[in-house]
Amino acid sequence: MDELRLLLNGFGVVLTWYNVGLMMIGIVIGVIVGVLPGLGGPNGVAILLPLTFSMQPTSAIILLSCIYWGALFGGAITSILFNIPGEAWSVATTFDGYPMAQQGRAGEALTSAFTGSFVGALAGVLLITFVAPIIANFALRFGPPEFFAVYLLTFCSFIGTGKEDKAKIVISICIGLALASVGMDTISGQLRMTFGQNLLLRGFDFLVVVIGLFGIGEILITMEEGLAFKGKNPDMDLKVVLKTWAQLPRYWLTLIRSALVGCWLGVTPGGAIAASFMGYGLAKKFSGNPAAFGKGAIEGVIAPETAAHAAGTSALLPMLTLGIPGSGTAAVLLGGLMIWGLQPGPLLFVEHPDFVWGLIASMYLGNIAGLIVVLSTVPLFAAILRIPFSIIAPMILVACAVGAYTVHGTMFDVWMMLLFGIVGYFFKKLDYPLAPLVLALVLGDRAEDAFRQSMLGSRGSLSVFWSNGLVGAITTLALVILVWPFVSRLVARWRQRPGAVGSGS
Amino acid sequence: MTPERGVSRGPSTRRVGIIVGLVLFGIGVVVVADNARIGAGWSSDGPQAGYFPLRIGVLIAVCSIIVIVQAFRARSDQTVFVEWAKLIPVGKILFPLILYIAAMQYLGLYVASTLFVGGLMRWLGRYGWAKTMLVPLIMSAIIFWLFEYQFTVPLPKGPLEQWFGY
Repeated sequence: MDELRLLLNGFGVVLTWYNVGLMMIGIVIGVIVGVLPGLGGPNGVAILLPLTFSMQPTSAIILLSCIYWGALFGGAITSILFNIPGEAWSVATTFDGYPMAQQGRAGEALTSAFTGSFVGALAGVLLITFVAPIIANFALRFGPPEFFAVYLLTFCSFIGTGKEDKAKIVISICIGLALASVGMDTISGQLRMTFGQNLLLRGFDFLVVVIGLFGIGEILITMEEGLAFKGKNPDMDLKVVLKTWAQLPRYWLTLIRSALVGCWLGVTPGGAIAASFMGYGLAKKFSGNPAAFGKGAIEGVIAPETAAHAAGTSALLPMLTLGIPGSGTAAVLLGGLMIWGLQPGPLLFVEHPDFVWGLIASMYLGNIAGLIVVLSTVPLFAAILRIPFSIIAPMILVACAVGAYTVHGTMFDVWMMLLFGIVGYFFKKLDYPLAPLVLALVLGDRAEDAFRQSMLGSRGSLSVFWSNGLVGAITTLALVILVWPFVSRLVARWRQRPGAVGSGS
Repeated sequence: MTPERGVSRGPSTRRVGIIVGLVLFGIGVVVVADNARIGAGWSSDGPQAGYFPLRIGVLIAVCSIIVIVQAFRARSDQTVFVEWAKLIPVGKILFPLILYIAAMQYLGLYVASTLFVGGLMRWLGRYGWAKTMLVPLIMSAIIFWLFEYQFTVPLPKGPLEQWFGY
């Protein structure tokens, strides 16, 4: 078992006082970020990323990935105690989590949510440990056409599986790609879309865009909705935790099912949200008592949390092996890799094994640390939510401004953050998805380079994307995913025809 | 949820959707035009600089037309994008934020942040003067300690910091 040896090596890298300390700090910041409105996983990581520029890449990724785990755990706290999903993938957790809290079973709900999350994450990390090296090894054979086909697959699966309007998803992706191409063209040295502005030479930094879209935009929306946090009190103590743990083995099938669904969907981009709903749906379907769902069934909390956390973790699998982030936060982490001077993709496993296996080892430890931290400190985080929004909101905005400024140390970025905040407000309210935009912005340059290199090789013929079995299969799969919703809608309409006039959609 | 006739509670989602669609269409056209200018064709050394972005611009323009047409056809959609009354709290945070960023250039980040947080606490939260003074000062002191000493990342400074010798 080569992986185990490398993994042990990774544990050796991680287990220093400094790194374990960073892990703890990361988890605590992550939970706070996940709990507060206006600060989510992507935004929290983006604000802190500039501070890690001078750190060792391994320590930096440990800190930032632990923020990610913390945010995943934190989402459950707001869902259960306040009926407010902190992230889109914790929506399904509110269905049964909040009723449980209303019945005074908040401690039970939180314990099962956290434990479910932990099991899900563990499944995701195991998947990464044993499957990632195989995929990375396989992907070493990839040339530019294969990479472009994989990027295409990423974008197409956003379009094909996204619940939003298809045209709006395409616009989101294309705006991201267009923003990525602003500035100096790396191949020809020509200036693109700078309109004579020197400030635009460097292009748009994805960190500034993320802080604006997710941070400022979210605060504006929260102000409009006038959120007043009136939550239930968590009654957490060791007795509740142990009592809940004693019941959990009964739900082993739900745990395994959700973990598998999460791992599967997490690898495809944007899968965490779908995974949480699917986990919930499956648990309800196979449950002996489906009527209890929605009224405070413990399985209704375990299932979506396990699936979401498994998906959130396995979203890092394509990021590490192919350089394709599976989620918004993974996209920001990927951008971080490039800033630290690491080229994401299959070569990472060959050239920087310490980094990769250190990260994987930190996933195991980070999630154990996370479980302990959240179980023991829930009341503290619930108290943070009770701080009035008139104090929290300006402080979050200050944090966003500091984060945007520190990216390059220019005021221009702070103004850009404001601009993208307003864009985020409109996009969010009009159902334009934001994650594809960020993903496209991070991947834009690489996707374009891959495309141009492929085109160079084939002298401008698109047939290069079907030039061998591998690239042809990926490209075809991408196109199938792209048109699948349209085809299935047509089929459905065609079948309806003999009956009454279909109402359409 | 039916709005009273004749009384506008706010701009309709449909109308805002169309306006945003038009703006996006404009962006698409600008992207296409600027990349056509620098060359989006094929040169001796392969695709020119505007080759890829031009096609992206075309996609933006085409999809924004689809969005606009969809919004036009959705006449039954009566939802309000945002009620005028709810726009007030949004403005209450947006305008101070603009002022804050503008002030940051002249006063430095620390002074501006202290005023911003203190001002909003006083104005929106109606806190007493003691808390309004103390909370932002502590916050700024923590940021100062973290960034100037721990991370050694300099943040914008103004006359006050200069007076102190920074």
